[in-house]
Amino acid sequence: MRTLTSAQQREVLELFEAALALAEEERAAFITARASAPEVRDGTLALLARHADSESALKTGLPGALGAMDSAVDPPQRLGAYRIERRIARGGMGEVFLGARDAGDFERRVAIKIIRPGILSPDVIERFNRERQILATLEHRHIARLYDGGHTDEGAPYLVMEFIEGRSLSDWLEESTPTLPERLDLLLQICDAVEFAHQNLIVHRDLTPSNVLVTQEGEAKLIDFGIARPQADGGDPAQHSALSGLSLTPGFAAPERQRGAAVTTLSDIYSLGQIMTLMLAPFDEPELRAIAKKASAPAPEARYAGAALMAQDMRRWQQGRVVPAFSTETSYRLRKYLKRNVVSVSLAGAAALALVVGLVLVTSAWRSEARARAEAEQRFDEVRALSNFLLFDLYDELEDVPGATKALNDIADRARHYLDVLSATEGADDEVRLEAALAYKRLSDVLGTPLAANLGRREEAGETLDLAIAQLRALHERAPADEQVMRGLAEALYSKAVYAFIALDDNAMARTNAAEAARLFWQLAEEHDHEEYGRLAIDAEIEAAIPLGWMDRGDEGVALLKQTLSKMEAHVARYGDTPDNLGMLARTLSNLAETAMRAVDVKEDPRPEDYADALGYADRSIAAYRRYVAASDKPDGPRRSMAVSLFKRALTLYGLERWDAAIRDLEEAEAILSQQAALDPEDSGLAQSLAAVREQLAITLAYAGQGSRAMALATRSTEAKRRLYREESNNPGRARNYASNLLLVGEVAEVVGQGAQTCAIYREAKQVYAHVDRLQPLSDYDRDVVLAGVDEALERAC
Amino acid sequence: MHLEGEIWNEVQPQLERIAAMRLSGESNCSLAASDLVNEAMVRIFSQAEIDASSRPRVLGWVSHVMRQVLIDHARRKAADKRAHQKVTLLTNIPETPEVDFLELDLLLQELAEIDPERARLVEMRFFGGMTIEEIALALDISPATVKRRWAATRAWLYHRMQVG
Repeated sequence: MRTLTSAQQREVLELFEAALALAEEERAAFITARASAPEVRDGTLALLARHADSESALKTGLPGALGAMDSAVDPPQRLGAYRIERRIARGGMGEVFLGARDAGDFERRVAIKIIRPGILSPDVIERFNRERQILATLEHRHIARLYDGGHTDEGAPYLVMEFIEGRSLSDWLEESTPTLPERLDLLLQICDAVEFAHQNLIVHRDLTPSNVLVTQEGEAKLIDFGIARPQADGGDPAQHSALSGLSLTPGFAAPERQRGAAVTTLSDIYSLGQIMTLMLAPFDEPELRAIAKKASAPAPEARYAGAALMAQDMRRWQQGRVVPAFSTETSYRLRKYLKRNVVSVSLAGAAALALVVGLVLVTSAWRSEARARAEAEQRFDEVRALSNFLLFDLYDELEDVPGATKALNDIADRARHYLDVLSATEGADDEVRLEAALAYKRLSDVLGTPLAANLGRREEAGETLDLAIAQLRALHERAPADEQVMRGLAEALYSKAVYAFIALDDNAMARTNAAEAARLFWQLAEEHDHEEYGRLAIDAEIEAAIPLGWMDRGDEGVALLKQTLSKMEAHVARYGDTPDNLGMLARTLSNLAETAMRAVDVKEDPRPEDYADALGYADRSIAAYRRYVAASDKPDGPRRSMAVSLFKRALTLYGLERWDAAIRDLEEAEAILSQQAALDPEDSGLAQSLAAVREQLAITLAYAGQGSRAMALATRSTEAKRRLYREESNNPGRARNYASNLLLVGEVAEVVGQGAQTCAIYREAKQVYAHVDRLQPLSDYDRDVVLAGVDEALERAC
Repeated sequence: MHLEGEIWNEVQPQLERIAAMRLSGESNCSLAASDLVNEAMVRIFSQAEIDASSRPRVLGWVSHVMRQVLIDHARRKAADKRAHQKVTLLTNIPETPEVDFLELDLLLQELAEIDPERARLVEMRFFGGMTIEEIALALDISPATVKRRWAATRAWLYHRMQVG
């Protein structure tokens, strides 16, 4: 068909389309008769032959998108991918329909429950929406699968669930009068399902006989996980709203729920006990009743700690063994013991032995139960610990391991999942919420805020950080005096400032966030007289001033930083020249120097003497760093910062063409960093700093007339960057580093006078920049300034 | 097929984010476009007052964005692996041929030259997960026509994919 013209192609399509309106056996003849040319005829017939295949091959399997939006009047004809066939049931909460997946991709009959609009409180709906994702992954033989859910046009939540052909537990009991073993089997299935859900941090909240379905095969299927039902109509309206988040099916909801206590797994245990009582009503089995009674104990701590333990007791009974819940009386245990051991043990011995065995059993059962209860209570803590472990410990461990990127990504995803579970947990206190919010902040660092090594998932990092800030703000509003919350919020805002500054290149946003962080830190410093807060506030002030240098408002930045500097000096005067304070003093000066330099850079025709202030601050900053290094127990970090400061001063000196002074600074920086890099070759950040210093040294040497040393250094730096780039050529960071290195090496070659080489290097630089742009659009600066520079260089050199 | 500029500017980044979020980390990219579109629609309609009659049009737009996002995604992946991204569409038929997004995109460009409306139809059906009825509304033709046109166009696409 390729040889056909567009017009002919169009004819083929139209002809074929017309043929499709006819009966199958008439199509070929129709096409043959109507085609305007033999090519068109053959092309169309070829399509006809393919038609049957294509039916299956390009099936979209996609439901109507409008369907979800346009739910018709009661009952809707379809919801999402599902066609509604008929109503199965109608109840207080809403209606249940039989539905079928209507997307043509696979057949599936489903039960669709549409919850009456307005019946659930917004809280419940919100929680439910959060939990739906987890619910959808809850795969258990005795739990009806949740496939999907959403909201109808009227805002009514709906659920798409596995369609179970069966009847409710109550009907089953009434209609088929099952035997005791059958009932116990079913109860055990229910317990298994509940235990499984609990392990997945899902509490059913409304276990009742109508939420347990029994299939034809006698299998239990639990439905309606996690949906709470408001109180029956006619209740006191005030009470109604207060309790509308609770499930209060009379007789099955745990008593503590009536008091408004948080929902726990123990509430489900209570309901299990009540269901068991109901199921066992016709039988006089005191031990089983004892199990049910224990499960339904009014005090949550007296109940079984988990459904598995309850099931364990039932199984004991099935096997004819001691049921600890029943009684600790010797007579009972003895009777039981004798029943099993009538033949083998003499009476006298049996009595003594039974006592011991019984006590051991009870004790061990009690022990394991106590442990299990503690575990249930701790499960939450564990999830919390796990997310913390993942985010803080494991991540740090793996962070520098080459090739661990996928594992790190998995960790971040996993941690995210746990955090979502955590923050969705009902009844979590503010302490936990704070922890979750802080962990979100950490997750954001890991995902891609620029302060540390990260996964480069930048947008997600920003979103997660916003989430953390929102949560912390809410906490802060509730408890304005809480120190931890305020600190967390201030730190998150600081991160946001850095994120906005570096990742978003949004200077205004960076400034707003940093300023707010500074304000909070100052407030903390005032209220708690804690030395660290003052320093953090100064750090945030620095962060708020730096962007001005990039907004062509360097002078304002300098003015602000001068104020910050005097605050820092006052801080040192008050709290002494501790290493931390010397470090912050040096940082203040270093940024003051850089901002002052930038303020001069943007001036038209700056004179060398304009840089005097900037250089003065740089000198003071380096002096402060030297003191900081000398005072510090762990001087590696301070040394590294000093190296960066030396590097920055060298840049200014380079601009002033004071080559020798610049080379001195760079050589000192190079010595510090290369010594550290030799000790820790895995540290990629260090390697990068070192490479930057060597690049700058190379170009400075080139201008200073030391051509061969310059070329040797440049070539070495390129080799390293090229290796990193080739290892992972689609890592935009590595690609960009390589590109900018090439640019610099090109310049070195150009200055040194290596003509042919220069052109090739610039060409490659341009290619790599184009590659970077495809991976991740270049920043305005790269596009407008750097790329323009590349083009100019190409013109000069090629 | 024009949406108020302001709404569009607000919505488009969201669509792209939704799509990117859904696609990120999906190694083999088995996806239901309708999920993406549904989510996008919910956001659009919660954000802007759009009367029911313009919904099919909006859906058409969304389909188009989804196509771009998915194609961009496939393109990036292709750059990663120097291989085209194969996508298994959700279907119950065993051994469904995988569709190469990039190839499909090229074919759609070709189709747009032959008959732009058909290309749009494929886009809506394939990338937007729109139903026959919705497409009929959006293109202002009868559902029966949409059905036949879709069948014919699909056969053409399939044929082209097979013969190259």
